[in-house]
Amino acid sequence: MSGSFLEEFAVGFTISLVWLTIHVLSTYRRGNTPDRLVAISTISSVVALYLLTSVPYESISSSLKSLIYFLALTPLAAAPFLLRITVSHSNEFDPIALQEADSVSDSE
Amino acid sequence: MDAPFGRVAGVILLLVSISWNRMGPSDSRYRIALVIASAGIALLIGRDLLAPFDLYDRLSSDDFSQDMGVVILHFAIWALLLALGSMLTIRGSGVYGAISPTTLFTGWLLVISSISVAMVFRPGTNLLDPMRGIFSIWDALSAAPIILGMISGLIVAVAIVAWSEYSEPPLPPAPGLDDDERIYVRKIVEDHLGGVN
Repeated sequence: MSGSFLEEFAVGFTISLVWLTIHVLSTYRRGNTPDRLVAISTISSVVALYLLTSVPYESISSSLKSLIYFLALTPLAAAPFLLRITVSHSNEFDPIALQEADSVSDSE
Repeated sequence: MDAPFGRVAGVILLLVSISWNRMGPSDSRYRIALVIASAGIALLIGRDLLAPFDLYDRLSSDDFSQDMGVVILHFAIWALLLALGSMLTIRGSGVYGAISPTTLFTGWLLVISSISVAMVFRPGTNLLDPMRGIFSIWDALSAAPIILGMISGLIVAVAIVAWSEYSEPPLPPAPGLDDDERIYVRKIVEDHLGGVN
């Protein structure tokens, strides 16, 4: 069973907000993480999850399956980047090249 | 409803492990990110992997699309192949040193396998029939509403982060280093400069 546009949109919206909250809470550092960020992200996630409770389980499940099918495009999308790395002759991280670059800049 | 709680917990642990991994080696949480990721993966696909006897039937079933376990397992297989293949391809290329043809070949073999599993050998009655199980553009388009929702959620998340950071009062200036700290920092800098004063 496929959900309506609004139901599937709500699932995606909630995923992003919950992901933000998980990131903020799991990386919390006293004094570094703004307390307002923790509060606002948690409240918005709870509200989004509460609104999602009115969406039928089948619609949520169907939306998640659609998302996973869409992600199947990832290997195809990654291939050109990997091809570019494969044919690249860059040696900017090679230790010997780095030492040579250092000695050139020192002599200047 | 096929017991989603374990899978939800698995996804949460995976997201936590990504965040902890991004914190870097200076934080103690970084060291257990891999353990948390393993626990997350085990919760996500462990139940389906531990019952392999009916796995093929489920993968080649007519109504595989009702089986979230099969959908996640298919995703996990191509994602693992892509991750390993990408890692080997990058290591084998000339970016980080000498080119290693064997590593490069193995990496590309895994990447091509990942593309095949993701887009050709898909669950359903056509599991082993590459001409009929192929990925269609309609599969991708059916995810448009959820992708739009995620993009909107991301915009809201960025707005929340920006607002919370700009609305915080500025921190007071940090106090200067004391003598012990100054000597310690000086020693580290000198060591890294090879004893140059």
